[in-house]
Amino acid sequence: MKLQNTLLGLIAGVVMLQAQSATPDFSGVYYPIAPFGRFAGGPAAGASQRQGPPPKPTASAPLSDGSRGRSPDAPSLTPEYMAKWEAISKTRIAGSSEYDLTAKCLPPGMPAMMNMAYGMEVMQNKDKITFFSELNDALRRVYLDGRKPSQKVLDDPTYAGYSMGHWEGDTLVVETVALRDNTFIEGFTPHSDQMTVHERIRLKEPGLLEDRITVTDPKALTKPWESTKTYRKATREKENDELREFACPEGLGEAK
Amino acid sequence: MNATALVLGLATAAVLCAQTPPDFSGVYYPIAPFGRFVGGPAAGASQRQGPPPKPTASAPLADGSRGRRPDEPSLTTEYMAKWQMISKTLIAGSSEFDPTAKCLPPGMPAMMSMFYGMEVMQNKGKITFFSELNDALRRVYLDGRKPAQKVLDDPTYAGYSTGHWEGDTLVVDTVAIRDDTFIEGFTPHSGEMTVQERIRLLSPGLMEDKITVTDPKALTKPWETVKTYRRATRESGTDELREFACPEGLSEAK
Repeated sequence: MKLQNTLLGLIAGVVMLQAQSATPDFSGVYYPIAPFGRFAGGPAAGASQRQGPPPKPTASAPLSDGSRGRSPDAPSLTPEYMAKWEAISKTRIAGSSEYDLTAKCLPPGMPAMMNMAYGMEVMQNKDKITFFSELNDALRRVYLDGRKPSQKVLDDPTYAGYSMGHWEGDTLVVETVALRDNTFIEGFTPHSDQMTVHERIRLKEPGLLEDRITVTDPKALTKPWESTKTYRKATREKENDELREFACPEGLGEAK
Repeated sequence: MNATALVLGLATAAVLCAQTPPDFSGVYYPIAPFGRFVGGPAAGASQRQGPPPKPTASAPLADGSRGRRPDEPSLTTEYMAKWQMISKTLIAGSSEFDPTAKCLPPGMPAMMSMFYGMEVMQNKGKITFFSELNDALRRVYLDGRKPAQKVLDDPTYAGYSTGHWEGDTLVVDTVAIRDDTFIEGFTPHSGEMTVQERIRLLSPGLMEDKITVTDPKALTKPWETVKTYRRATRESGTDELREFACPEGLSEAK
């Protein structure tokens, strides 16, 4: 009887400890699955060279300079921002990286940084979760303690923006505001300073992280753009759970 | 009687809790980042006349034109010559040897000596230190792993850090550090430098890092320094570091 009660007490204690960490733990190093998406309409690998003029925009776009137009699942741009995209595409076809932030060692910015081919390192505690992009050593913080951005933060946008999150069951719901307007949504799709990003992040299964991203921009987009990314957690056994320092400006120094 | 048993059980759980290491997570700012200049001229003191003092006198100038401070790392002849050469370039106004001016990470152990903010995140297997200056991340692995040969052959600015808990103190060893960073100021070191740290909370919100730098090629004896950092509170409005994005300035300068 006495032993039973001791056990009961122990269980009560353990349950109290457990309750402190009821939310899932996303911590770990992840790699994207199919980082560039699935090009349903693109030419198969090894297909013969296409003859004739390049296809119209809205056809599949396997080339990153936009010379084959925009992929049908790319964000739907207003005329003003489609013109911007075309202007940027021309510079890229000409071989310029004038608009390419990552080529200048700058952070990829949100939401592009959730869409990179490199590794991503997540650290998490009760009040904050951080996403570190291996590409260009860029850190993103999501505050979980209910705080809101100050006016100073809103007036001074950043690449990663200002992210606030809360848990809905096992899903982390994140809102990101105060984003610089010279970054890209994905590829080199431009956006305005009115862009906000909404995410629903969860573990689909142990080691498989899903991020459902919705980008809203009343100036640049004709409708919100939705995209789902999945990432696989690296394991110590596979020896791919240590990201290396990127130190991008090393290359800039050499290029000078 | 039942209550006694319940209390006993809860106490056992509390002991389990107490065995967990302290949580260093938070945003910190250094206290007296440049150290205390015991020998330097007092603020507002009259201009010094005559030739600059010999090396080993106080050195309040960052370009080394007044020599090295007595509490700076003690260099071998070879590395003192390197230091003097770098000092000349600094006096001439060049930032050729300054990695942070090129937006590169300050590197270990200098990154623990910066006057910018530092953001710590911690879990059971890892603790990360993020330097606001130049957005540099340092990881300390706590799960007992050792660096692979590939890591040892490919040194980085932050190096490769492994740590373990000794009571409430985190003991960290760092290896595989690039040889073109500085120990502090612009004191050079060799590829054989290793850094040992003992990190603990002196009191809630006050973190201490006792750093020992060993380098058989560059130092005549291990160099010891103690850094303290105060944790920012939400109330103070200083616990949000801003993205540094240093290369913004580089592209503007081009």
